[in-house]
Amino acid sequence: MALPPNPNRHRNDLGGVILGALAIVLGSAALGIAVNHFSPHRLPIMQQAEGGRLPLPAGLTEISLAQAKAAFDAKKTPFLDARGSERFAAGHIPGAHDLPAAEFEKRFLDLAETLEGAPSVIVYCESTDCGEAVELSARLKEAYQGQILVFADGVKGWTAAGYPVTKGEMP
Amino acid sequence: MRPRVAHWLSRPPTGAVCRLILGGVFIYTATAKLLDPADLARYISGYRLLHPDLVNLAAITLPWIEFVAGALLVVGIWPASAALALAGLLGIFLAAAFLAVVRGLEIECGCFFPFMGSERLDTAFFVRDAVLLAMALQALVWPSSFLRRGPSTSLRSASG
Repeated sequence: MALPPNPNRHRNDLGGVILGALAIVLGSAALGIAVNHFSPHRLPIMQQAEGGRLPLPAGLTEISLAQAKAAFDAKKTPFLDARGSERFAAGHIPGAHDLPAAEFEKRFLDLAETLEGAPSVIVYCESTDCGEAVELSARLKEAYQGQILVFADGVKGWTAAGYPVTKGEMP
Repeated sequence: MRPRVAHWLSRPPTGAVCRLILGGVFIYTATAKLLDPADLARYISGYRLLHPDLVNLAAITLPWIEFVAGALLVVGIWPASAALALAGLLGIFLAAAFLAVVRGLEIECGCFFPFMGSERLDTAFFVRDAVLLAMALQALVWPSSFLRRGPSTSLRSASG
């Protein structure tokens, strides 16, 4: 005897597709967590490394707020602001150069002369959880021979410490 | 949709091309991300959409979702579900990029795909992801498979 058509078939089909997608997402995520657990380059899952800071790639050196302030007072090390021109204009470390990571190719030549004689530069973005400073550092490594120092606390840490900031675009 | 366009989109060769390109792209980019999750975490953090505590979790899991869904799509196992998962990811990527542009963030996309334009969130990025999203939707509505089975039900049949 032929069975009558199941009126819920189409709904079940759609449910099957959605359930399948959920299974793929959850299964893959579980696989990723398991692989990460046994990986030699394991990342902490629910928190960022080193007290909330993003891990720095090899070849970059992080400096503290006090070290950044000392370099600022000595006026020998150029500061590079990686955040982008709009936020640079809204407030940056005095004397810093506006060099957005995304516009590196276009803007680096303007600063090449300034950086040429400097044995090191300090790169910063907004705060410990921003990525632009590391992006800029990665690009800088290909064009700049000196030491690249990442000031991870960024403008947020600088401002919180009561240090001065300047508004406006780079002259 | 015009019948001729619908007919062309529903043809198995169209589906096979979409599946292979889309799946291949995701397998390739996911592999690059899998090799350096810490680097991916920095890109994700640059978007400033996730709480910092969740950035690493996203960097650990996202490439595996891309890789598995891409591989399933290429092989043709659960193609509709894999296409739905990838369409969801592409929708999230486009929304995140749009929000980054609106907020004036000058960041790189973190796409890990050097063969299709720059890494910047520019017009090429949005066109590229929109094309990939269209492919995912094609694979979702008219899933095809080299294999014959699996819950490869299409949304077309599901909607009657």
